[in-house]
Amino acid sequence: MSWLRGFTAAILLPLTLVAASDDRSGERERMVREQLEARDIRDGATLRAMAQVPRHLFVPEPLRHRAYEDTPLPIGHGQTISQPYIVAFMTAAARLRPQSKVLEIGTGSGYQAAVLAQIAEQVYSIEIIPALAQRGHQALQASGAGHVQVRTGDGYDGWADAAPFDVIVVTAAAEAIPPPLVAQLAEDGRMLIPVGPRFGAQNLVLVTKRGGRVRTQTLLPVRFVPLVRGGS
Amino acid sequence: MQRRATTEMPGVSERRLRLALGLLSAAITAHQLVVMQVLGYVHWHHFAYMVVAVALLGFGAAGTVLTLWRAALLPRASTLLPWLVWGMGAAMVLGLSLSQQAAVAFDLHLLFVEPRQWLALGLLYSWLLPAFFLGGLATSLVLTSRAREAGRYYFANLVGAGAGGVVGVLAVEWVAPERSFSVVVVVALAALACLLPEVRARGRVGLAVLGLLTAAVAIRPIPLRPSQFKPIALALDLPGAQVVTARSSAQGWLQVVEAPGLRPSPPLSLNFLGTLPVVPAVFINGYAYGTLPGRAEWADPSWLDWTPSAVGWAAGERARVLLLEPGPGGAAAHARAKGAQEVVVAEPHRALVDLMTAGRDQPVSEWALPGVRVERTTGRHYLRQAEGSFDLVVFPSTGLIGGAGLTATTEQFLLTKEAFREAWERLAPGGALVVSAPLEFPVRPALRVLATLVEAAEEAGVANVRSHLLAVRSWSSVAYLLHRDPIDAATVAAVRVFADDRSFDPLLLPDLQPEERDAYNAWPDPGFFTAVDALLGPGRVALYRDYAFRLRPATDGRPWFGQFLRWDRLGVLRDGIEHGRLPFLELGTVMVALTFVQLAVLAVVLILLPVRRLRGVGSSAGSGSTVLYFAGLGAGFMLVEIALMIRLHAWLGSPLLSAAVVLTGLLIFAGLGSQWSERWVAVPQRRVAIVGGCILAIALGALLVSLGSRGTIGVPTTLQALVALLVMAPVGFALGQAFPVGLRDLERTAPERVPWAWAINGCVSVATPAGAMLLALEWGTGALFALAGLAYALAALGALRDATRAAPG
Repeated sequence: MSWLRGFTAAILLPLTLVAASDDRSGERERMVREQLEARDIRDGATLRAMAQVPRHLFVPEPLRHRAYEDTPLPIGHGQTISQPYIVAFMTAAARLRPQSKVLEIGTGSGYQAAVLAQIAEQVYSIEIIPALAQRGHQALQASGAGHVQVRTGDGYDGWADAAPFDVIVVTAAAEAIPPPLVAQLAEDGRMLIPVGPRFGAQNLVLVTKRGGRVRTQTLLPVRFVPLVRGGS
Repeated sequence: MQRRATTEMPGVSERRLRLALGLLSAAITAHQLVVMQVLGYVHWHHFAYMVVAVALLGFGAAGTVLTLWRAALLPRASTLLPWLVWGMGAAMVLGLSLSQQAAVAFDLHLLFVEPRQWLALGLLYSWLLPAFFLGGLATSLVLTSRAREAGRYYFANLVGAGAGGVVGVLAVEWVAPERSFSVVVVVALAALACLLPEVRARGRVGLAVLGLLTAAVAIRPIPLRPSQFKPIALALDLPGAQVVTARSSAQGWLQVVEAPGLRPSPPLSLNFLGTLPVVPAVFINGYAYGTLPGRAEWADPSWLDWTPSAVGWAAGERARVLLLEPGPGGAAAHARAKGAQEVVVAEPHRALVDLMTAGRDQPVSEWALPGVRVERTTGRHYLRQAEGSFDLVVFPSTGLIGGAGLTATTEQFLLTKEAFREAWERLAPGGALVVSAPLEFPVRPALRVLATLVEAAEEAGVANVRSHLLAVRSWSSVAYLLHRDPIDAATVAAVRVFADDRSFDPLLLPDLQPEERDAYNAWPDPGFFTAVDALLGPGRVALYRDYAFRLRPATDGRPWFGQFLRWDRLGVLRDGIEHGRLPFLELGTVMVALTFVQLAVLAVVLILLPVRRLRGVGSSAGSGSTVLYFAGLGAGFMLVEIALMIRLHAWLGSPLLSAAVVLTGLLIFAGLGSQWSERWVAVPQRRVAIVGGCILAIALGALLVSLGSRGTIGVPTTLQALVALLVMAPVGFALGQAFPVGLRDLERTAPERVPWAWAINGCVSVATPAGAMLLALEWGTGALFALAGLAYALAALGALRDATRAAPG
């Protein structure tokens, strides 16, 4: 079966890692090297963003010592901060450019938005749980990504005032893709969404729109974490 | 009242003691059912096997303690007994309360993410264990003190335990999970009340006060804390969310939640441009079970037209439609909107049916619309007794009723080969049945549904299944449509239009071109299409053999549709799946295996612990026979019990009714057998004969269950339950004799080992439920009956060894 096949060895890209001003940049560099490059994440912009954003600022205080581990971590309200690999995979699959306009559904910890904001100038993020929206916004500001616009509201409706979006990233698993999000996706736009029951195996699905016609591509199975080896 | 004092329990009347024993046994059984209900709500599974195992572990530990400290405990039995009974009631309340404290709450979802969850799991066991330990110690004190009359006391024990099954069912049927434990505590305190007159004045007052205090605490509800990841918890976390209706039933706790962000979430086509309405959501045991569309949506639940399963409406007239366990959500209204004149909804959940069908004059839901008829029964049960034929039979999505992962160990009789056969036979000329499945990755449910459909159709006499079967695939699911008649060109054309309008890809069509299969929805694994073709061709058997997961159809004898893990393919999975991720795919099965290992280790420790102490007291000759005999009985009884529960679930259509009939029937008839066994002289030769009778009775029981379930198709459930209860008679009656006769024989030859025999029996029974689940998942219920016979054969061997040793010369 093809999903069981091995994957080619990672190709190490030359990187100019911008050293962060905190004392955990070494852990981030190791995270990038061992968790991302080793799993075939090759997009330079994504790797640089992952090396720059201080992930530990988005993790609840009691778990900060584990912030750079190869695992998702609970952040309360039944949500998690995704495993670094998943954040990087979604960011790379979004094929962001600096001028991309990005909508994130499910601010959660704020970490994914911060990574997106390292690459794209316009990032909008919606969170339905007020407590998470507030905490995520604070973490974004503390990490230097204060230009991300955060709104408390129902992600189902998208952000009609700012539409259309070149990229939409849905971070919370959904059993259906909300029609308004498809409508707010720009021509040639890309939407990434983990689809499936919240605690069943989910598929990370890429939705593209071209010529008004919508197509999907299933990328890899996830459930907090990727379930199958490789997957890019 | 005749008072009969004994040296071990002076001053305690036999009648009072037997009544107290019966009540405390009832409380223990009922408590197990209540704990299952609570766990089912808080977590993702009721963990029945784990609860039964923890209960038996408590019993085994009690037997071990009594063996180790027999000399100290037995003379004080009459003093200790009422305190133990009170302690059991108090531990029931305290254990459940502690399990719901945030600081120590166990969360199954984080078990393989957060190491501390292993500690929380251990703590969960320890919160639940004391009640069963104290109850077990009280029971074994009575049975050991009265070992010479073991039959009569064992009778009270078993009849009480059987009645407890009924009490437990009534408690979970009518009382919310946060209060149902109160009913059990009342039964436990009634046992205490029976014993109070026998207690000295000062102690009596103290116990009465403690009993009243416990009752006062038990009256208050214990707020249950569902896992933060459970759908009900996520829904209630939404701003403005509130529970607007809550109803108890044996099929689960129904709650209706309203919140601004709750909408239907079907696997919609991305071409759907309409709006999904904000509607109340229905949860059963904390699982999302559907939504309650309002009056405005009944007229036109148009979004359902944009899901893969709507392919059933793509071609042909569908005047009479059967919806099997659809849950609320608009399917019935959709069928009416598509022109169905009669829609039958088969739904087993009593509270949900009551909610949905109230107010016939002024319909409160789509199920109360004219032309819609609701049958309150399981889909499977309805298929067997339905009259007439249907143009369309719609099965629930496997995503709705449980795919893989956590629900792997939940029996699902609606997705077996036999169920598809029965649905096929209900189809009118031109009719079809539709089944949809999520596209998980690696693909499992979608392929297993196909395998089941193909084999069912072949068994129904269809020579070329390809000409009867079509399928469409969206970005997240597959819908299969199996036609009674060969598919014609008009239907093929209509399905192509249906798929193209929705950007779905045809997966199976008689004239399908390969490039059509992923024109809109690219799938990363071309092996999926190869597997689909293999299932419809000569490569099916090879695919079953080589695929990394189990694809062979589920059957009534092995009804675990969601169980895909193949232990013989673990090596292949290890190579393909990210390190440590297997539990995320097959958590249910992995949990059963882990439970089995944990409890088996504990059982062995508890059996071996008293051995050194026993060596110092009396002869060690015959210890091996004691182990063989009582371990064989413990394992055999549990294997039969689990096998019967599974088989009766299929027969009666309800897991809880099945558990109640088996617990009640088996235990009551075992009690009668125990009473009857008083007439036998307790010698090894007699034990051999009794155990031989047990083996025959197990074979007879298995046969009677098959005959009974076939012979009562179409009769009311109550009558079926009565027949099932009678089927329990020969098995229970035979099995009930072996243990007390063995105890009496041991009391005669090696009295110091009586509590140890208890411990062995309890400890082996601890590991058996989880082990039986693993065996059943792998080989089905037939294997459980066979292994039960084997376990009794080992017991017979133990008795035979005793007979040989006892023979003169």
